[in-house]
Amino acid sequence: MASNDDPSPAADPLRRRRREFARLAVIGAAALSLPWALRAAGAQGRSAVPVEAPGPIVTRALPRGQGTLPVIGMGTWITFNVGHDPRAIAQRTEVLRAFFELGGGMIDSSPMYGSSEAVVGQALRRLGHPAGMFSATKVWTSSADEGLEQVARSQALWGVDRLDLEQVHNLVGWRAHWPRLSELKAAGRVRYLGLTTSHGRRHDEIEALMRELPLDFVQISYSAGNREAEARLLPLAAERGIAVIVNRPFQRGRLIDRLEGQPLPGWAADLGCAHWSQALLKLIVSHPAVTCAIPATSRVDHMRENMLAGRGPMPDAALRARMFDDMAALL
Amino acid sequence: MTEWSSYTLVDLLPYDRATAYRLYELAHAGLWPAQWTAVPAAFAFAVCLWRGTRTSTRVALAILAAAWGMVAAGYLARYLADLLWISPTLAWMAGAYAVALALLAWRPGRLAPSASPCVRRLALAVAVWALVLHPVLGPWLTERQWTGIDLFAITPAPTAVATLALALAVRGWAAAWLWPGPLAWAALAGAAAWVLVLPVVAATLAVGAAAVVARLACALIGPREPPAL
Repeated sequence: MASNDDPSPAADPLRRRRREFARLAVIGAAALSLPWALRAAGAQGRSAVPVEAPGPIVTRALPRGQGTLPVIGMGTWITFNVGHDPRAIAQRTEVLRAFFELGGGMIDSSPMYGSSEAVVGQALRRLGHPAGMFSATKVWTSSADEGLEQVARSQALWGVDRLDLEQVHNLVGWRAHWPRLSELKAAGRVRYLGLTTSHGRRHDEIEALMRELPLDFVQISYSAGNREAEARLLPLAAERGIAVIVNRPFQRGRLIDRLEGQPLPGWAADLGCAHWSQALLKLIVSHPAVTCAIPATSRVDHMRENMLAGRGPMPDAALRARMFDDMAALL
Repeated sequence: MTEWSSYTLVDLLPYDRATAYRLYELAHAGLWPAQWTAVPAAFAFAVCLWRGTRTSTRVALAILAAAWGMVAAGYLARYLADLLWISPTLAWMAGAYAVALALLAWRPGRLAPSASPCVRRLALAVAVWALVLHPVLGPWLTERQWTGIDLFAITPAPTAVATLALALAVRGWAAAWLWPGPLAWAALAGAAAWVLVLPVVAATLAVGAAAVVARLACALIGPREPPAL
């Protein structure tokens, strides 16, 4: 029997049992906590990576096989019309930075939008004119001469030698503009030509012009709250190889306001949608005739939401029909 | 032109409320220290309106002419023009209106202040709304900042409503020259208030409309005034 004076644990059965107990306790505690540790580590790992749908942004073919275009672009109506406000211009530059970081392409503007073209131009300069921009703007005047001046001004403001897309805004003066713009296209100053309308207006005229003119692009409104374009314009665009830009996918926020607060349906998770805005955009850009949607925003977080809608799985025709039905029930 | 006829109010206002409010701040900062002229001018205008003599009416007209000139050259031509394509045209129109008021101050013809106490009190009440209450209500009730307050001779709203106050306070055929400014502002501000949801502007429009009705009532039920000499 070991004496109490012997410091060695081996010499003291009680101390040996205490030591053994402690060792087993540690092992047991570790074993019990392992699943929690792994779960915590796994969660930490997921949150360390930005939550985003897998894969690159989905693209659509440009007319005449001249490349592709990301399905989510950016509009600038109201959102970029901030005049000479340095604070707002800096903030819009960050919005544009997020747009390009997440694979954005088309930026759509117009002289009608006040200072939007100029603000976009300033932001582009600050960002060093990122590659991948698809410049889309418009002429908005009844005068053909003024239209040419507007084209030149747009090029100067955005620092581009050639605009990717020049559109006749809301069909204003299209008869006067079309020959001149066609000359610009032939001369290589403009890559594509298009016409625009919005709010579901003047679809009859647009349809007639889609049949009559060699259009490259048409811009129309199409959303969960306005499906009129499905009947004739979208099929006609597909038939004639005309690219389609969709404006007002949120109806200037009205659709999101009506849906916000409602729980997302089950299909949203399958599509990688964490927000109604993403569901609304996937619904639109998944139509086979749609080339690109151009939601407008002045917020970086909303821009990120919008751009993520262009990634991951897209609904097929059956799911699109369900999505329309589900949203219609909520709107 | 069918293309233009398809436009609605929403299409013609290409900026949001936050940008509009921010524009007022930028205008105040850029036009400083014009406010040191504008505030005494507003006070002098109110005093002239209160005095209600032929001479004070002409001085009030001259003050209004200067105020509209400042609004035209400042806020409309230099700031709103950044956002709104029609603003340069509005600036020219406001400038022409300023010239017309200056001519009226110089040659008032048979323009005379109303002798009716009812009318004079009504006009003074409208002037107080234009020069004090409307400016204060903006920052107090909305997200508009005090640094972007509505101010007579700096921004259109109080200038137009102060003009309405004088229009209500005078009689004679030449008084018709005073109405284009308030009416044009009412139309444009009404459109903006509708699209951008501007409650204070809507309230001021209601006050203006009520004042016009009250003026008609004063004329109909009050003692008949002698013709302006």
